[in-house]
Amino acid sequence: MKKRKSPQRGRRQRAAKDGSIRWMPLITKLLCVGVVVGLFLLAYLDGAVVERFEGKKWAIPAKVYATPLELYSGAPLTADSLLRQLKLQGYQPVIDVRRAGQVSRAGDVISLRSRGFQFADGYEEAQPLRVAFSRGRIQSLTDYEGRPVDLARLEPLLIGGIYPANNEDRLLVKLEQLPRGLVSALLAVEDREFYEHSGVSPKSIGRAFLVNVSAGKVRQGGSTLTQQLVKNFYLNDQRSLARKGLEAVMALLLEMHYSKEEILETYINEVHLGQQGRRAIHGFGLASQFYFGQPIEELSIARAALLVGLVKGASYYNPRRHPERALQRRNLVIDQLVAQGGVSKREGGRAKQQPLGVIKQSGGQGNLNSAYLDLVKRQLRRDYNEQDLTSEGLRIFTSLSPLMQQQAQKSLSKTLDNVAGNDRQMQGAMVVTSPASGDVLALVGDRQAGYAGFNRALDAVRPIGSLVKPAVYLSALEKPKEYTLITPLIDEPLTVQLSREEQWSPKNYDRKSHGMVPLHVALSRSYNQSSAWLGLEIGVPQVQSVLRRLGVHRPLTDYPSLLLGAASLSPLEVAAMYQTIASGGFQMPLRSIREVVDAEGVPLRRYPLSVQQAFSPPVMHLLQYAMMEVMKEGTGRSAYAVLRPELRLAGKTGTTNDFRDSWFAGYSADRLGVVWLGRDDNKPTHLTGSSGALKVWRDFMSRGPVESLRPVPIEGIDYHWVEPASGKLSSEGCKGARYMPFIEGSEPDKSSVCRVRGPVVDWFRSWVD
Amino acid sequence: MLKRLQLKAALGVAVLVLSGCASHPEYYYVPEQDPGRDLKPEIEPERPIPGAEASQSKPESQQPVDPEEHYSYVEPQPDVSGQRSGGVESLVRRSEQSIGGQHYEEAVALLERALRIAPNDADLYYRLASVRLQQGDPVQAEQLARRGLSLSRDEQLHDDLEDLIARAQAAKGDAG
Repeated sequence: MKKRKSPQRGRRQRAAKDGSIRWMPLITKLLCVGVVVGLFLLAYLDGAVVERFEGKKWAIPAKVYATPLELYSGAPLTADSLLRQLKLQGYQPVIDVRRAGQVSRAGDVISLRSRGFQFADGYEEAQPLRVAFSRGRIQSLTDYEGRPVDLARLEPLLIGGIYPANNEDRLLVKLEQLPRGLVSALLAVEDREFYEHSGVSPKSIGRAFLVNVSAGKVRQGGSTLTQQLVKNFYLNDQRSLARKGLEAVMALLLEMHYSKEEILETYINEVHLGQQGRRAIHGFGLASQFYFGQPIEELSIARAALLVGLVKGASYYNPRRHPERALQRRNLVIDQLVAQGGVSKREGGRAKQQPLGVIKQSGGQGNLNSAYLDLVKRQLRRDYNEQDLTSEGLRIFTSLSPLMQQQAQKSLSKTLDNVAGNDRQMQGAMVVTSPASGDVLALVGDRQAGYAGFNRALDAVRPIGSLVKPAVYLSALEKPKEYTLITPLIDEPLTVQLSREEQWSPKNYDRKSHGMVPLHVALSRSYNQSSAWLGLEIGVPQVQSVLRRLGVHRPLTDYPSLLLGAASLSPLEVAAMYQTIASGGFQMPLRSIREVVDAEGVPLRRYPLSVQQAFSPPVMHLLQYAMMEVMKEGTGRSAYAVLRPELRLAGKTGTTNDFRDSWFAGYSADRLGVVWLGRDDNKPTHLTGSSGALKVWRDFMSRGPVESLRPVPIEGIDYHWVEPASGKLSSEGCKGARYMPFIEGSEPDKSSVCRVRGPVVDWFRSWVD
Repeated sequence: MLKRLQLKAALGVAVLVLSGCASHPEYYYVPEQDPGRDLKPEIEPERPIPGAEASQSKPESQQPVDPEEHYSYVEPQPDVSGQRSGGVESLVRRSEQSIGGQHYEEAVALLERALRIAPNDADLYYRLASVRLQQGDPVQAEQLARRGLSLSRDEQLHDDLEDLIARAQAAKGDAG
């Protein structure tokens, strides 16, 4: 363009030299200068128009996705859970499933057509699926012809993004992706002569001019789509006649360089269609997700028309805030579409009958997943620079389970309402991970859903109280020659001189002493005195080192108060510690991000499973036995007021001085949950671990399906019937006999009377005595 | 003789009832010989959990309320060793193709996906560890194999894992 212009300019300049300048009247001279300046300006504008339009037009924020739901026969899932997930993903309930993104249910059978998605490990085809459920599991997965499908993966839910400073968010779409009627409706309403004019439309300018003159001010634009695009894309948002002129010139230039299709596609992606707090929703692709939770391809005529209606004023016609207005506007768009012959009168009439269909915005201003996104962003900012995150269109795949996140928030909010009532100072946090992989499945940082302030799951660093005890008992159990689960411990008052002035005299919660208690009982009942005795016997440094091996990285006190939980950790750090226990002794980093891929789908970075064995499996087996006893017989047993008795769980309660913190950490085979309740101002809460945090946890676990622990004995462990009171071997059926695990060779060598003479004799003896 | 045995059995049961149940052995222990056997639910699954209904929120669908919707307990799947679900099997096959094409990270991603479905499948850990060893990461290879070892119930697999650990340790020695 520039090249084509310069020879002209040269000719003109030569002509001016050749001719006699003196003879020229002033007005001609001025005109000449004007033309030269004008041409320079034009060349400049032309350069600007081209530069912005070529290559990458927008900074595309990184998109963050939840974990995709995997469907396979045997998967622990209920029909209601699947429906809930599909609803989150904008699947439309229908009677007869015919297109992608539709779902129907008949009793325990759900039929759907999944959408295709480009995953990091390959493309998942869109496909018809029939899912039959039975007793909390997928019973069968087939296509519509009844052929079994091994494995199907739903497309992942988009949970958020990482926005640039201008907070513009968009999801780029191509013209081919747009549903039927959308472009016709847009042109019918905004620019009927789009395909005829060359950037500006004299006809509509004339019309607008008349309106404006009669009104005495600029009221109507008369802009073509091209002009609107120029206005949004290149210019700021003020209305003046000079800028109007500039707009028109640039529109003409744009049309000279680019095809109608290119201009239209850019417009479709540029236009502002909504606002969520500071986040600006741009383009039809994102607007479709934002208002309907659906990919744009799936939009009906009515929904497409609603979005087209928003072009005139996304705030004024906001369908969430002004549904009446939005409905009128939508119907007007449909009328125009019918008038222009875009759809038949009958179809238009049907479309006008439909409800708006707008989905609720999760958690009002914020996002149900804001605490989780916070965790993701902190990790991303360690590994990527801000520029790449906010502009390169990266896609980030996380471990978040939308269903668990929903449930964790619900359990926390609801339980807090029950136990703390109107005390709004009472707060809480919850972390849910997968015991096997360390995937962070859910993260709640506030009592209120969607609140994006102080993230307690990461930043509330509080004393962990009795949650530390497994570390004390683990230190002991690692010495099988000295300690077994039935080793008697002293449960009597004790006083430790910490310094000249300071003394430490731990008391039991029930203010009683229990004399001598077997080790497993001391842990499952969380006796403070016996734990302190045991810890002192082993030594604080040993317990510190076990805490390190469990994955605790914070500085730890050297005082014996550590033995009863004077260590302060965040709920996420507690989860990392209990992760090592739940995985059977393997330390692993908690992972929120699995993979980062670039805009083209090429994997940039994986965050793979990495494990580090920190404890031997037999020792962990003993600890898990005691932690299961916590649930069945100890401080955690109130879990079974709600949960089914056959569900095997392991866990530990924690309460700190004056009830300032209420903790619970526990796990099944498929989920580990850590709950903290307390006040931000650190005042007493009147809650223990079991009267507070445990209630949140058990509510969460009761919304299964939950997989039971399967404590199968392992190499190096033998089970024996023992008489815990005497510490002797016993037999099945003997009084007080327990079947308990021992590290090979550490079982008692003496036998009880009952074991020698048989249970029946023993029973008669006790009967006679 | 028979009568005495019966009496003994009856007494034995009585003793169990009187003294033995406090320790809930069946809660803590699953006999290894019989992996399919598990606790029989004390409450029939068709009935709602006592006390749980009050805390249940209404399901969002229009379907009739299913009292068992939440399934705080799902019956364990019979775990027949050596027999995988079709989903895991197809992922394993794909991972083999990736390994064949030397796309190791892709293989790792597929195997991790399989592990999310079958977290106790020790063979998947063996495969994962093999890939890491192939990639020249003997440290992670050894650790993953140890994880597999802690889950393995199969003698052959047990030996394979120990062999892999030995190879990883040798590789570590070479590197160090």
